[in-house]
Amino acid sequence: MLTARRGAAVLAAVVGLVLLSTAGPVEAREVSTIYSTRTPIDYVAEIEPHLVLGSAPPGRGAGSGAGIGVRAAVTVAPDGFIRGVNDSVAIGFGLDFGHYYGAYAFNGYRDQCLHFEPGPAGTEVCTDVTSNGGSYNYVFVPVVMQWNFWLTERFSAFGEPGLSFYHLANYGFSASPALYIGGRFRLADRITLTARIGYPTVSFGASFMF
Amino acid sequence: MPALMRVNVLLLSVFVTALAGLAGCQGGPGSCLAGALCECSGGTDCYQGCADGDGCDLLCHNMVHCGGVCGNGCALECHDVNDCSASCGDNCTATCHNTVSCGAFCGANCRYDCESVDRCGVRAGPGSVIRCTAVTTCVVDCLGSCQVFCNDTNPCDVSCPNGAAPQSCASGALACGSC
Repeated sequence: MLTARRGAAVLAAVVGLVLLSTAGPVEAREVSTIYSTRTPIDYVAEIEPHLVLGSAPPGRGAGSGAGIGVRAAVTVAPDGFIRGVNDSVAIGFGLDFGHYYGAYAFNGYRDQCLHFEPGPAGTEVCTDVTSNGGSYNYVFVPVVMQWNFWLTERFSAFGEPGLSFYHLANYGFSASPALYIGGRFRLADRITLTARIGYPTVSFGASFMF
Repeated sequence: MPALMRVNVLLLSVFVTALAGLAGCQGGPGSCLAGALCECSGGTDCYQGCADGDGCDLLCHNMVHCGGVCGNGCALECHDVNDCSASCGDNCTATCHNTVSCGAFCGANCRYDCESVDRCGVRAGPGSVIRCTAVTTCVVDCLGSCQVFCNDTNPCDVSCPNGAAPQSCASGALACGSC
């Protein structure tokens, strides 16, 4: 089973590399817009449903997981921060759900305590633990500053520093730093494929701009 | 293949690669099995269970919070942590030293040692023997007959079933039931 999965991963990687090697002519036709004064996509808000993946989540959860979510962004500075560069700034916020399995950790896993009871002398005694790393349901609410760079008519890139508030079942609410970099590939006038990598999640989805 | 489709397939394959790689990543030894020493150290939290229920040997050290949950006939040790927790059934042996707090629930015939600890709290079943050495506060709830040895420990509080007062034994122990 494990070998089959790894085989599939290798096959997908090879297919990706082959496609990448033949995708050159597409980029060659692109005209840079990074110094243009006009943003290729004229929009004030963006909504982006996506799939999410994550590993080593913040807080007491563990392992790796997948889920779904949505991100929205509202442009607050259409001309961005840098004079002469085609950038813009938006405030992004989202809602992501991820189901994590402790056993799918990249650096091994540890079981976690599921239930504590008060003991003598003010101690806390764990009376139940997970098995095989347990599973964890996360709800993330990222709030970020999205700094966009409009590279060509089709491609844009962005960086997103911010905070990710999260709720972990049985453990409540907390927050962690969030940092993403991502890119968009324009499919239609106001629709793009959008991918981002970073922490605590990576995502892949489609953006609809208004 | 049209250029646009080629790029879409590329992005999709990268995503599939990530998914497949994630699914294929299995790590770690799993829950502890009876008879094997299961050690956990470093990091912040580690709570170990016993996959076979009984007879596990659990050790954790040099972290913030750790503990073990086990059935009968288990051995649990932790040291050099902030908070150590132990929960086990009958005939267990547990040691907790050089920690801020040690908390434990154990069943009958339990042997529990606390040493160089700020707070030690134990709830133990009948026939148990508890030792507190160089402990700032040692509190033991005995659910049946038990013996508690306190050395360099103040206070050493022992509570017996039905509110009975513990008796001082010639051995230096505080005992619920006979010495």
